[in-house]
Amino acid sequence: MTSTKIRLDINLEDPYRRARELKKEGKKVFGVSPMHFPEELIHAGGGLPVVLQESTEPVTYGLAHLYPFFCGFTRSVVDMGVRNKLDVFDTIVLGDLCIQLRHMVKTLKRQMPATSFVYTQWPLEISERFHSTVRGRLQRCKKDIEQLLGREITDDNLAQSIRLYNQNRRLMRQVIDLARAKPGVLRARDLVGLVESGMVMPKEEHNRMLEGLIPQLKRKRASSKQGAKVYLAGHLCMAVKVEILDLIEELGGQVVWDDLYTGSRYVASDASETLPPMEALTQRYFNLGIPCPSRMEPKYGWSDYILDRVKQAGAQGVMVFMVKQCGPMLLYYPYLKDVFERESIPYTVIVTEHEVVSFEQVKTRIQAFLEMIQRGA
Amino acid sequence: MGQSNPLRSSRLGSQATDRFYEDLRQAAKKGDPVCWILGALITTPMVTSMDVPWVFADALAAHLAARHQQKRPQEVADEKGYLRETCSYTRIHMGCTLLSDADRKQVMDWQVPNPDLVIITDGCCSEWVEWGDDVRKRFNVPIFTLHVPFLWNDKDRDEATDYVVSQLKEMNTFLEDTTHRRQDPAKLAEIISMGRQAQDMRSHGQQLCRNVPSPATIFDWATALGAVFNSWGKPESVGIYKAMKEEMEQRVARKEGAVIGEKYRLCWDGMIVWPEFGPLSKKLASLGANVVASAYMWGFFPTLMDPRDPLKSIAWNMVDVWPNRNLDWQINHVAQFCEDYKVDGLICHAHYTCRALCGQQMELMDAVSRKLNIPAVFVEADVGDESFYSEAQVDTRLQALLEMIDARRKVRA
Repeated sequence: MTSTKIRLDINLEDPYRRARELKKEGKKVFGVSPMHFPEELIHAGGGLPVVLQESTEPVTYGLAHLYPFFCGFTRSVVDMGVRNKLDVFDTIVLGDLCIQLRHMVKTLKRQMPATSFVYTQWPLEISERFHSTVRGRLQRCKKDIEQLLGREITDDNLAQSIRLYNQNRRLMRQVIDLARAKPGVLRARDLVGLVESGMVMPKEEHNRMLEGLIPQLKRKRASSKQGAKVYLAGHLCMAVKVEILDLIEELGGQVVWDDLYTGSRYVASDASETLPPMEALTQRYFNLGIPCPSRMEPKYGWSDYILDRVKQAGAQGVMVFMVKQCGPMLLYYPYLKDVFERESIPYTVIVTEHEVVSFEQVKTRIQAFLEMIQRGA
Repeated sequence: MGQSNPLRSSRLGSQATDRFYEDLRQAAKKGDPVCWILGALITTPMVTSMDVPWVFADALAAHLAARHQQKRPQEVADEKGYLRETCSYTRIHMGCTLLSDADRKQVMDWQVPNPDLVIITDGCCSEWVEWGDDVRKRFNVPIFTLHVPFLWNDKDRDEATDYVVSQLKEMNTFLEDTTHRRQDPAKLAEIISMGRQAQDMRSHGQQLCRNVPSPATIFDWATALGAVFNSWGKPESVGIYKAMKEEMEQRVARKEGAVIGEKYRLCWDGMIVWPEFGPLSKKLASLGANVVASAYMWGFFPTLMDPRDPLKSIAWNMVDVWPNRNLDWQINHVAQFCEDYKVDGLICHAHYTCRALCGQQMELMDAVSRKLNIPAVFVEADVGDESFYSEAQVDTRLQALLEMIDARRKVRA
């Protein structure tokens, strides 16, 4: 087996490039808010669902529409919207789970009058009480999407889309498992890039990409160099900046587990292929695989998940990534901190911002943390 | 130039608040189960009618901030990992609950009994759920979530109301099972009836603010908020608003304003800067500026109450409350306020830690100022953390607003 690391160099400077190409061919493109919306619903109707992405550009005109103390994701997307950089989307869909996302879409709706908007709202307590609510909301959403696409979304089409998306998630999980089992074969930035590329291109194409990559990964040999084993937690709605991921690895960290949104969380669970498709999507909302701090999950919460996976993966410490101003993270973190301290798990918090002045502070923090856990402190 | 002339009767609300918290402490000492309510203020009648004492956490935080008792709870919250960007109400409330016994003994208002059960809603803000989950995990208590549909389309109002009614029935069962007390329908209806009477008085008083000069400012309404937060459904709430209405009627007859020398009439969007409540009200008055209307004071609190259908009343208010409405509705509503109350300018309070209730403000300022040709500014501050308040910035913004009003008046003349 060869030992050369696979470098993917996935270019996501222009994440909507493929969507624009397909739009020219007549595809209806739907921009979908991140986290929990079932993209299969759009795919089954012949539309192209694309998860909205944070831009790499600084927020300029957007400052006149959303205050600077909103999270970087919402400000960036609003900025793109008011600068006509979201015109690729015929429709924007909001699966409302966060008040900031709601304000983002309320603003876009006023500023993008030529674009259609579909709204649905998720109950935030994971409880059987809300099963029929979610089912009803999905049903209504389906009707709205059918109207926009001008065609019925049949059960057969939806079942087919579910199978396709499940396949994509399985393939991506296989890549993640290989990367964890063989440290060094794939950079963290490429893993995250792979997940993000899957969010913005047709799943059929992404599956082909992954199917080509997996044999290469299997042929590679793991690096003999062992790093400080870290679990990367949090960072909802958008990707951790690749420069930070590079820093972790350059400074001697080895990612043994993650629950980042643009990481394992996006592909953590599948929809049932035996239940009727709308019921399958309903049940998936209640079983996303990784508990989310944006929801109340009384039976098995995010902190329970982290503790179990830290043990399973042999992580020496947890790096909690928090998007600045992210409400769910701000409100979950204090309890998580208590849990880490009670269980004697080393942890650090990295608060990320859309506008990055310098990575030096982050570098110092990461370096200190990795040195600490390597010493076994 | 101007001088603050606050209503005497609004202080009755403040006194009602003190009595409320004392009654709460006594009830907890007796062993009554205590219910914490996050966000879902309007459900308090259902809890009160079962003789279960409750804490409305948002109001507690506002109360502590207004009385300048928020600093130590904030410090404790900081130590526990609540970053400063966290909702101030959460930081103050959770900081208060995490105070040591030694700290609590220093200030009566910090002696808040722990919860035996919790009610939350996601109605106007998703963060109530996460805050509630934090409480649930720390205190290991049963919790009930009221999921309130956001009115993306106005036509969904009735369906949303019916959906909330069905949940209120479930909540009733939750309350009975958890507290082992029974709901008293007659008492609930009476509370709603009292609420209706209080609201009628309140509405009448608010209408009087259309007069020039206005007999009250939003700071008078804010001082009296105890009547809503803590005394809703009690006879004293009716008494407070009746007293305010009567005092205001007398002022209207005498053409006496809440700002002596009223020169500018303003509309305020957003919540109150509680730690700077007094100084800000005086500052505005000194400039001859009377804040005569506010979406927060007019639209956040219970309006239509029908004792014949208490659950529907409660549900209707949860669905129809101002922050649960779409942007077009909010813009039209505020624009109408400005017209009805002869407003010269709009001030938006950009509260740094409450993104829920100020996210619409940039669009609101743009839309309302274009529609009515009145100037709008925002001041960056916060509902509870005084460290986010810069007096110099507020002065500059106010000065700019009033200069713009003067300039437009010259052009019109």
